[in-house]
Amino acid sequence: MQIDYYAYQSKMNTWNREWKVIVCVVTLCFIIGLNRLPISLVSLVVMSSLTLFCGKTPWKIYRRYMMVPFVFLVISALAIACEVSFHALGTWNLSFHFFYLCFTKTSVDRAIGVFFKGLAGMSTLYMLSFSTPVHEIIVVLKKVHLPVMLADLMNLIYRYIFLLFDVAAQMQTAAKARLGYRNFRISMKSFAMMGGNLFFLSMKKANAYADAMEARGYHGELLFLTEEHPVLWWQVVGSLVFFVVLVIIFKQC
Amino acid sequence: MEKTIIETKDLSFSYEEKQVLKKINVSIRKGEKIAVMGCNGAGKSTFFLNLNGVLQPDDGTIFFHGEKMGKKNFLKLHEKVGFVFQDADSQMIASNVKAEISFGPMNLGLSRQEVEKRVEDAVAYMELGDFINRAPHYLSGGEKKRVSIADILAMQPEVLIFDEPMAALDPVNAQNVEEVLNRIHEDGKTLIIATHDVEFAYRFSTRILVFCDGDIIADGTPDEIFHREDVLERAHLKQPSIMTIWEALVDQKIVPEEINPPKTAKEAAKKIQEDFYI
Repeated sequence: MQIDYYAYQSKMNTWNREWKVIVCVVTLCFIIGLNRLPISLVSLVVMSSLTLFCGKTPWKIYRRYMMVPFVFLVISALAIACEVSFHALGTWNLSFHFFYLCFTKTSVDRAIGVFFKGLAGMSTLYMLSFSTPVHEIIVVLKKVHLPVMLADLMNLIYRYIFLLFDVAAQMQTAAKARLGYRNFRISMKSFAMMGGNLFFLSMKKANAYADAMEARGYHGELLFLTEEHPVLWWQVVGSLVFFVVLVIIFKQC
Repeated sequence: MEKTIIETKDLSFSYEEKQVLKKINVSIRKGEKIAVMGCNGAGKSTFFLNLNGVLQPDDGTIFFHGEKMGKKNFLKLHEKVGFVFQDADSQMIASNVKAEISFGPMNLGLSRQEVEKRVEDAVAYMELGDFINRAPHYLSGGEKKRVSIADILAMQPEVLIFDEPMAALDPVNAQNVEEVLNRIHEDGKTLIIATHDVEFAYRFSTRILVFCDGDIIADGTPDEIFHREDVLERAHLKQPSIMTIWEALVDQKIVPEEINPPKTAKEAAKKIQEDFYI
């Protein structure tokens, strides 16, 4: 949820949202479709720099968010790189008396490729999500003709998830204040009761929201005024140069 | 006598079996500041939702500028009678303040420029310039309230209904809201305000409607209403303290009787000082 907060703070918030989505999607296609290590590396560097230097997202936060895929990718890369066998089959073998952990040149290469592909993909997605609040992405989705109902649902769910969390946090604090989390059994019971209450509360609130929306003339589609940020020439040139470089790298190797 | 804007005739409404409004007859004139009082569950909110057109009466009719409101034209009530909800959170649906304020005008089907202009006006009116790109969930309570008022102002209604506008606000924010209410009234809008704050109702309103069990049990000026003990008791109300004190002073002949007794502590202090100078 915090990522959304940083998206509002980002200096890239005022950049054209279509540009950001297009750059993100095209870069992802390059990374996944062309599947070359240098392309992953270049994309990783470029996308991280965009987030950190253009968007001014704090390095600490960015590092924390990159750690999640990093740890996951390290584990999966290890799993790809090594093989368990009773004979020393690989280029490098680790003997464990009963069996060997074998690494072959190809498997290690593949593991490194997958590792950086994953990391580059994540940095590309973070570039978008650290710079674009959800409702802006919904505007883009509406432009590419996502059904209105789905877009509206996304908008409402996004808005109300914060309210739900607030209420849940309040209930949890209230329960804690009355020793509701004293031990495991009681915590389970408190948690279940909270869930039930939350459900009834949501039903009740949903009615209030429907009334409030109707009171302001809602009739079937959520209409909002959206801020338009024109694309700047250097953004277009920058993205084109980036894509050309990626193509050149692909031709080279 | 100013022109009547809204008139209800035998307005009744029930939620399933339970009758919440029982034959309400009331007329609301242009430029009035009406406080609606009465205990919880007396039917105030339901009455407001009927006036605003969200709920349609089971029985009876609402006239808006003399025109009978029915199934076909109740949308006009959405447009001309704005409703500021008590819980600002339940009113806000957009993901940033500007989009939020634009929701009402966009629904009216206005042109983009007109919407843009109205949003700007409402933002300026409520002094929200610093917040337009903020998400509602990162605003404080007082800021949320201001946004929720701007939401309705952008629709440019003739009548504004406020459901407990000062509930859950700190004294400074509450006073800001009161100033805004006064400003809106000076700009020629008619206000209907539900409140439990007797001091506020006494100093602010020109007329009080007292609801009890789905019925209006009293309708008059604040002075009349707060002198009727039977009404106060039935509707769980109390006399404003400034009124009680001032009357005690008059009884003891400490201050002379006035046609317009003071409505706030400040006014009372001023009058007392003036009297002692003479």
